[in-house]
Amino acid sequence: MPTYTYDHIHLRSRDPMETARYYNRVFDAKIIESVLPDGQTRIDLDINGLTIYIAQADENQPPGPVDPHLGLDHFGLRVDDLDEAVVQLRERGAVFSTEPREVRPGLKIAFVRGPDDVRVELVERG
Amino acid sequence: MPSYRVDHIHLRSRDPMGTARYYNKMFDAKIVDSVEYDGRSWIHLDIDGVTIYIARAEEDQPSGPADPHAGLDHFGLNVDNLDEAVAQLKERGAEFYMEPREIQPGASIAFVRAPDDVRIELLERKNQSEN
Repeated sequence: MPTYTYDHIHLRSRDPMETARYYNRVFDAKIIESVLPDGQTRIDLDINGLTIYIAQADENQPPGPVDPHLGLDHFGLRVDDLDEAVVQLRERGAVFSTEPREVRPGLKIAFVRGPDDVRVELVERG
Repeated sequence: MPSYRVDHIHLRSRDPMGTARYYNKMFDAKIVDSVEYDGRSWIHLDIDGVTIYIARAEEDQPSGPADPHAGLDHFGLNVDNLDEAVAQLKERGAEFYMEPREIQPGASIAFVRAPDDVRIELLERKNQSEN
């Protein structure tokens, strides 16, 4: 009986190392480089146990959607104190597509626009 | 000092409950909750402790890309036995975007095409330590 466990989120980028450096600088993601059997380098990120792969986008692969759309829209990262995180993220040069707001009592969110228009939601749960 | 950890993966659908039933049927995802708040509705799914939200898409929100693209492309689920999983998924009516194949010794993958062209990678790693 198959069971499914979470494995990874997969991003594509024309410049995977530049994208990896962004997540490292902004979200303190750990960059893990590994060499594949074919000699290519694979770049993975680890954000406190969350694995994100960053693959080289092929020349003919289009940009992703900038705005909300059907299907896989974004992913969310939890923070303990959103206001504190937002201050630090601005210092680090992050661009916000949605400024912090309280959705309802006990739930605050904001959206950062990462490289290739990836939207990263920040979530504080009270 | 802020620190970040996974909170959720977020999908949008014109039919959130239909989409939730798909994940339940195919991957045995648990439908934890169905929430209505402030005129919006969304469903909370759980696959192995990871939260997937399915929000109702607004009328003017377009389809997502059907094929690989720059940015947030897909997410992956790990299975112990890919062949067994694929057989069961086919019985359950799953559509495959990529049939199973070995990408390197000990690592096999396949891609399922879920509602709204969400691509889900299935991975089997025979030797976890080498991958």
